[in-house]
Amino acid sequence: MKLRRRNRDRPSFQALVEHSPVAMYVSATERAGRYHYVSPALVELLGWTPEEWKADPDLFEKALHPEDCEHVLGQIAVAKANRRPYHTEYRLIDKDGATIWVEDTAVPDGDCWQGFLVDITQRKAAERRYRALVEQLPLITYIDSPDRGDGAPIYMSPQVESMLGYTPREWQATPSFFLEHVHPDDRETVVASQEEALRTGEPLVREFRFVAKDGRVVWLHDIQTVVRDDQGRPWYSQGFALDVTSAKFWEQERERLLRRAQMQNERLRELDRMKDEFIALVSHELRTPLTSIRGYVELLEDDRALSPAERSAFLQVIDRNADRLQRLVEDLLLAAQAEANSLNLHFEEIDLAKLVVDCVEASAPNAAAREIALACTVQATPAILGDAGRLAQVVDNLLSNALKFTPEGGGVHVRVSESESTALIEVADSGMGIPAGEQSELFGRFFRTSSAQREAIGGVGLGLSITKSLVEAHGGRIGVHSTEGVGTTFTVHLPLAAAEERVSGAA
Amino acid sequence: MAEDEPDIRLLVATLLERWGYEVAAAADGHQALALAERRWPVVAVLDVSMPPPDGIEVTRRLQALGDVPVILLTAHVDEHSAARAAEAGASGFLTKPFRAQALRKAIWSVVPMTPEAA
Repeated sequence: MKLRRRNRDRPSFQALVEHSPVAMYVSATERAGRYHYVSPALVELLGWTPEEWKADPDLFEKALHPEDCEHVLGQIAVAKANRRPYHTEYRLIDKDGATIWVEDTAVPDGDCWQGFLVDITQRKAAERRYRALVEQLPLITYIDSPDRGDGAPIYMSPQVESMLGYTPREWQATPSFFLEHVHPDDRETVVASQEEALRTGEPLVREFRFVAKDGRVVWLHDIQTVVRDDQGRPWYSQGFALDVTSAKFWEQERERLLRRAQMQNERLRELDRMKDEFIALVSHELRTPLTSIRGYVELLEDDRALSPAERSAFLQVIDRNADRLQRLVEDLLLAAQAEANSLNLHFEEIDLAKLVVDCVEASAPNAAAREIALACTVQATPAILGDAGRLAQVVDNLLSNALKFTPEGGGVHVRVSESESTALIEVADSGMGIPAGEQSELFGRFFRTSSAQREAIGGVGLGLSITKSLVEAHGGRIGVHSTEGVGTTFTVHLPLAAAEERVSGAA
Repeated sequence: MAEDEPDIRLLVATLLERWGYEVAAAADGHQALALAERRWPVVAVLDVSMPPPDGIEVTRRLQALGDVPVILLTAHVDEHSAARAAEAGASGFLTKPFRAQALRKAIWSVVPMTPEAA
């Protein structure tokens, strides 16, 4: 009766609670699980009757899933101490032994908790299915913390451990963990792209290097989308990253091979160009003396007007140009032999000072004609072993170069001395000098200095390469010191013949 | 005439003198231009590759200064040389080695009245 009257006086909350599909309860604040009231829905949910709940104050703790027990009781204790509501998710094991996921929300009211449980078992199962799916993909998925903004992810899929060696827990412990492990060379661009993405809200696709726990450098292909807040502003990002190290390796390998092939092609084109240039130069160098030979032969044929002196001078021109042709042909052959490593040298004991003096004397007319002061300072050196003809060619080549590249009025000085247990020949000129950038190429075949080309100074670029081959075939070395506009000095060191060799050579 | 190879310079000068010309010979482009300014030639015979300015450049500058037929000599035998010579305004183009007769014909074709013929 009493109850009935009350029902008439005000809305029946009792009926509302009794018919609600939400499981509700009232329990003692003092002791979690000491239930004053359990709604029919709660009875339905877990299987225990209100009487069973009241009879066993430990029933709640018994029903709690052992793995969740600690954190749930802990949370309730904290809420109790602060007299604050609590909200938590955990598993219960019902009367039949089935596991049920619940969402539990309770508010303190006097010395009671008033709470309700929502069955979230299906949601949890769905969550588990999707999580299992995400966590079996061969990639790392992550969700950055929406609230903290410090870059620490709230979710990091466990593949991170097999891919990079770090556990999700390690990763999440330090907000700057990600950036700290990006390869230092890529850090700046990674930071910049992240800032850009969060500023614009545009999706981000990037590749960068990451240092794994074992020190390996892993290339990650990272695809990110930016989640926006209610106002549509960029908020936080989530995405996934793939290990593309091996793809990257092959890509780099392919590029490396491509570059090498390109370099080889360029080298071949360069060689081809040098060959064409060489043929053009050789043709030019052959045609010049031929022009004189044919021209003077023609002058001599029509000799009505010629005095005997002129006739003799013209014959000398022909002879000189024939010499020049012969020298060029010999140089070409010698260059070919040097290239094939088949220089045939006839070694004998040589007085280097005398050989050099002879060469300088032979060049004297040429120097005089160009008004170049030609000086020679020789010290007697111990004998050396060498091919006299080829060594004379070495000195001739250096001398003719010096004369060729020295302007009228300049000077050329040849010295012979003993230095560092070698015989040293120096040929110094006061010519135009060689640019520093060209000095290393000077002894290469067919190389012509920029000034030789500009000033139309004759030559095919064989002299110095032959000279170097000849010097080296004697066990010696050749060097150059040059200052543009000041002059050039070539040095040739030749080994002295060992004493016993000299004795046996003399015997 | 201008030619940096002394033997060829003497050869061309000797030929021109035989044909009755008065010859002024230069060993490079600068000398050639200086000679031409001192006494304007009836014909210029120039080597292409000589110390700068080269024969092509001297031809161009001579054409800018006045009217003079130019015969160019070159030991370079490539298709560009002849084209560059014509472009610079040369009247004749001979490759070395050349026959005396060929040089004479080249000169006659641009200066019909040689002193010898006159």
